[in-house]
Amino acid sequence: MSRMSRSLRKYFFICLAAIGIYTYAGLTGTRLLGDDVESSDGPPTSGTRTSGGHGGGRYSRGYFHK
Amino acid sequence: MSQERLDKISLRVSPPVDSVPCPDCGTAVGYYDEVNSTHFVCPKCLVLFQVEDGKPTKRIVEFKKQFRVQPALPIGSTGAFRGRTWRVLGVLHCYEAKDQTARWLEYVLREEKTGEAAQLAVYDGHWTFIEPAKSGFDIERARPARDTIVTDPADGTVYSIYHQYSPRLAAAIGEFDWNPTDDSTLNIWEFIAPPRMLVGEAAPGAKVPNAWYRAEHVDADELAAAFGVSRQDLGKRTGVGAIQPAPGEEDSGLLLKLAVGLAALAIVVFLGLQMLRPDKVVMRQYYATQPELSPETGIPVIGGAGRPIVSESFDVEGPTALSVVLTAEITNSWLEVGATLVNDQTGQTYEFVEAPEYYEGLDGGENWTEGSREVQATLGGIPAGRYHFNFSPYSDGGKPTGFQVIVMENTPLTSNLIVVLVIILIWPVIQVLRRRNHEQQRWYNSEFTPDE
Repeated sequence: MSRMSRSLRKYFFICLAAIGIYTYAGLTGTRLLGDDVESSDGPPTSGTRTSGGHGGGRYSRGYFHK
Repeated sequence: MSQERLDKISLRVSPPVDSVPCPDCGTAVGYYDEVNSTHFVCPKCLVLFQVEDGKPTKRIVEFKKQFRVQPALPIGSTGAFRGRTWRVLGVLHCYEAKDQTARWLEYVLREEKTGEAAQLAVYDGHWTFIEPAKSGFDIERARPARDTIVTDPADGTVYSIYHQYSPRLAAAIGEFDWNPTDDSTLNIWEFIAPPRMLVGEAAPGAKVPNAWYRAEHVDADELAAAFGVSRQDLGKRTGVGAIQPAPGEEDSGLLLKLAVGLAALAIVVFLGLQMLRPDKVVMRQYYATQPELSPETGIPVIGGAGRPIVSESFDVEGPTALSVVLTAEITNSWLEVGATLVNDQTGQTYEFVEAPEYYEGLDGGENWTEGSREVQATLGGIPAGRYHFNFSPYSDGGKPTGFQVIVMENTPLTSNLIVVLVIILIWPVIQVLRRRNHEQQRWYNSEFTPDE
């Protein structure tokens, strides 16, 4: 370590910190860069297993038909 | 020059041992090396003259006042530099014969203890320490000329040709043991292996150098400390010096080893996490979309959304990342599925949409496919609990479409590994780019720029 320059020491500790965060994220199954989902605490009705009632094409992204 | 600086310098400048009178103005010109010095410059009228025992004083030339040298390291000052104590005896103001804008100063040094000579040259604020080489070198000429090199037999270092020129003397100050105007007849070759340089001097008409010097880049801070002057006095550095080390050059090897070690550590952590918490299927279900019925007539709505589907509940051992793989039975069609993961106990929801589409055909006798029947979503940081999915399918033309859903917990987060590898590699990559840019700028000043 004594041979390391100041900038190299800084680099080393930043990377160690990144690996620490990365390990914690791995243990908790957390993605470091965003998620595929939108999360919400939701009303209690969300958990009642009666989800229906949305209109057709609610999720449609305007796909064209070949 | 401030009084404070003059006071500081005067502490390091001892009085001359003796003096000789200027043949023009009679000024007593002090000197420090009574054994070797033969040529002197009058600080008042800038006349260079020669004084040798038993011979009359010989006036050689009067330098132009406009080129009067203002040395950053005063004549007579001493500096403990790299284990040796040097005294500044004289300063030469030189320029290139073919480019008068290329100007530099050469400080003539003499070691107090041994009487050995050396020089400090400064060009655009870049300082170089130059000493006579103990032996000569062979120039390995090549075509094109930019491939000409010198190999140092001592350690095998290859020096590339950087510059070839003839110097001219604009002015001088101090004392010398040779006639500095004779330097204007020399041809100089410079070969570099930063931070070192080999300098070859050839007499007029000679095709190979007859004198060689070893030069090395000197950091101005080191020099300022050695001679007790401020860093600002040594001039502002501009551009990249011929043998200026590239940024981070000294520990580039260590940086590479560190980066490889840290990247290996990140990969080991990634594999360790997979061994510690292997991925596991927590739900595997097959569904088929069915047209939604009209609330008024009870007849299926053609082209409308499929009926909502509710999955069985399943347990998740969290916190964990869930991987949801959706495989649709589609050909030349698409399926869009809105999915909501619902925690049965807390009601917390996680929504996402996936839309597999798959097309295939025959075109010009060749089969082609586009898209994929399988799509995947990753849900990070899902707490432990019991969950179910609500699916809202929407198929091409509302036609019934089958799809399979597989949910796995502890799915490996490859994207996290990529993020941490990018963090580890970004600094080494920046350093490589900086060094490359440094080298380009270094060779920009050379007529022997190597091929990329």
